[in-house]
Amino acid sequence: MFGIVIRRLLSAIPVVLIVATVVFLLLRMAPGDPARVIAGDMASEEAVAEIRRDMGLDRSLPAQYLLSMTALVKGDLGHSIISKDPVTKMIGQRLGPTLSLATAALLLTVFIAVPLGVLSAWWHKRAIDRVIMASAVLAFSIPAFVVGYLLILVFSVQLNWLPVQGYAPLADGLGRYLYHLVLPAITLSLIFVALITRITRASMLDTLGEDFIRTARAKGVPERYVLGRHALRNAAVPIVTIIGVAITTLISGVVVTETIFNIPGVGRLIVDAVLARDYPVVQGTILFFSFIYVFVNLAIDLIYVWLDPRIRY
Amino acid sequence: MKQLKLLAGVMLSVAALLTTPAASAADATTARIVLHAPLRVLDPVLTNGYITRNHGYLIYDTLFAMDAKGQPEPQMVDTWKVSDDKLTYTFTLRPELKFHDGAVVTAEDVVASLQRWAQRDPMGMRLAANTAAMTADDANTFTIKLKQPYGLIIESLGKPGSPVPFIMPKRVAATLPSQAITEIIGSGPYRFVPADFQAGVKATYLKFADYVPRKEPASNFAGGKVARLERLELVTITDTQTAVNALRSGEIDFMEDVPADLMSQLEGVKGISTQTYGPSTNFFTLRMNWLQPPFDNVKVRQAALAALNQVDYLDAQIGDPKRYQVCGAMLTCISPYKTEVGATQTKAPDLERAKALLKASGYKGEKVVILHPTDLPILSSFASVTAQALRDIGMTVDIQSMDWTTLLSRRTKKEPVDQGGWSIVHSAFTSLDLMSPVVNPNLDGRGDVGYVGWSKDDEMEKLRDQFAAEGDFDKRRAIAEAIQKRGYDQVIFVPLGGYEKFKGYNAKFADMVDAQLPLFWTSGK
Repeated sequence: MFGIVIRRLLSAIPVVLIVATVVFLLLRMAPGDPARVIAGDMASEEAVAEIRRDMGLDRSLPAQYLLSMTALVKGDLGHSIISKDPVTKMIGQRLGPTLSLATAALLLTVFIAVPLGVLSAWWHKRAIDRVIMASAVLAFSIPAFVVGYLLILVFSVQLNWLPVQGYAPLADGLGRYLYHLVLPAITLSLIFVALITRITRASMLDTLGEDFIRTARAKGVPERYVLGRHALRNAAVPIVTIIGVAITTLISGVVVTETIFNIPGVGRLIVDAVLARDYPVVQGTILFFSFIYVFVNLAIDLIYVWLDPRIRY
Repeated sequence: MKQLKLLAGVMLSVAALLTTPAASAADATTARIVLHAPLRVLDPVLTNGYITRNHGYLIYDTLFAMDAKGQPEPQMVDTWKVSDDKLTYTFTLRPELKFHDGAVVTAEDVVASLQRWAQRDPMGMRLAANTAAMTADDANTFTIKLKQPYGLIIESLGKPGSPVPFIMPKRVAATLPSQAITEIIGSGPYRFVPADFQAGVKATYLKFADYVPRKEPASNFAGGKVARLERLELVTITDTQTAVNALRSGEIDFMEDVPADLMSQLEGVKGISTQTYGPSTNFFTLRMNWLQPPFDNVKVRQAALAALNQVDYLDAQIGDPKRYQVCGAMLTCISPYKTEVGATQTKAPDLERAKALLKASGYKGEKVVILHPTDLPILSSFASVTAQALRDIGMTVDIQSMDWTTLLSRRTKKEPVDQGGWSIVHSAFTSLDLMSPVVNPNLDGRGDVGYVGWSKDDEMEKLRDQFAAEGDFDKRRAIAEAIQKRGYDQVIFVPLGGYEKFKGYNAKFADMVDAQLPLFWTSGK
């Protein structure tokens, strides 16, 4: 197990370097000038050129690349061109809201989707199965911004039960923290609930048709044990795979939900940085995401081994 | 039974947790405000971005300020005099001025601040070019000695548009204008709280207890700046629908810019008011590229002008005629120098004349590339309206869509259109930035060293110099009219009309001063 972890971590190094290089080149190839963004619409070309020089953007591409990579090797993601803040500090400030939102959405997803999928498989082709599947299709089809605005309209504007927007850190109290997370977490989780419900159902249906399930039933094992201990565990590998994908997507792809509910998370940070051509922030955030992907994939591989000891790497 | 009790307990706990009051309730002296864009750059000289200008008005003060009649009135300045030869201006500062760190504002701070600003601002550059010396005579007196009489000294020091000549401590103003200041200290009615600042997310301003407002009631940018609220929290909400919902639910107290299509959601909501900043506070423009065909030919520019119709643009973009103003004044319809001379696009277009002009120009079907910003809703309709008008007279048009940041960069390209160049861009300005020929960048006639579009017109530059040198208002108005006539003859740019912006707010801002920008002090009435 320890060997797997070490090998995977070592293999992450070239991945991160390749990501850093590709992102560096893509950003420099993209049109747009951060100096112009800072100086403003009406600034003269001389003023923009001075700012560009002060930011080091007038250096050659190889020189900029060398500087960037040297800093990266030292663990320095650089400073924002626009605000001058360290990129690590900016990611740190935005990570709390994103992780809170992703965790809440993930918990909702797992605790709703997996039981629904199991129930649906158990009652295969019966009314409850059809209702769950139809709901899953609907939930999968409605965009997050529609769900978000509808929830705001009903629960915030009409009923005034929950806030329209914003994020409260845990330090402000558990009540305020959860109060602000409810609607965004529901909005964000809906599509994953639908997806994982369907995956769980399909995987469970396969497993429930296996010989060992028939044997278990023939031995008189209670149905809840058949489902929970025998079927679900054996059906879990594809479910865990999708949950892993969901984790990475939840952390890196929550920008729509963050925008609707005005949550200052990492998703909004990267979109704002792209629009402002804030190269170090874009680069640092994407590198951060690549680390997250590597670690989540590693964790999932380890869970595979735990779920199915036959799996070897 | 045990399970039921447990369930009831859990539900009650959740209910207790969720009934925590909304953050907005804070108290009557704290307000949460949402402005039109995220605040990221704090230096109002480094950038001319409007969001940084608005931030600047909270924490900095100015020597003079424009009142509701458009006249500059003393603000930090107590008294001032001009020598008989009109070459020496002497200013005395109000004695009670203090920076937020407690230091007294001195004439040296003023001189350093003006010198930094004058390296960035076109009006400041003209002032510097006409100045022989700017000196601090004693702690609160400074003098500007001119090389020759110059008519816009006071207007320059009270310039309300971006970049504004805000006064900073000398040590801060010593920063190069191409580098961002790191200390955000002013002498205005609010002080900035650096520890609470998160770029693009939030900023906090506290009432500056030592600020002494002028005795006169507030009037636009001038008069007594009386801050009633103790704490202003600037929060960024990028989605305007979310901001409107937040205002309705009481989570925010002020929204700078309520889009036209969302106004109805605030009308009739108890405790919420909407109010205009005034007619034509914002202005649309169209600018052509003079360096490349076909608009390097004045006849083609004239043909294009004859084909355009302001109402088409304003209907497409704003919609409600009550919220827009048809206006052919190149200096906008809020300028004291406004005139309609030469404007044709304010009436129905004369397509026959346009076609005749195009034929006479020798136009050979050269492609017109219109840059279209996809992420700036306020300009979203303009490219298609222009394209249709030009196609109607037989021009070949290509609309190229891109994000605003790309567009800003793309429009600096002087190459032909098939090498990444462009032909037409549209813009939206705060009218404050266009109302004088000296500050209006669209009237720049310096060619390829000037504003994008690179209009080259020596006659225009001569007229602008005359305007700047002239001290008499009536004579300046005559020159402004000549400038506009020349501007339309050459089609230096095309005004596309004014529109009103609306603010939305609750009772905390009921006595906010009426101004063309969001200024967070009371009207004093």
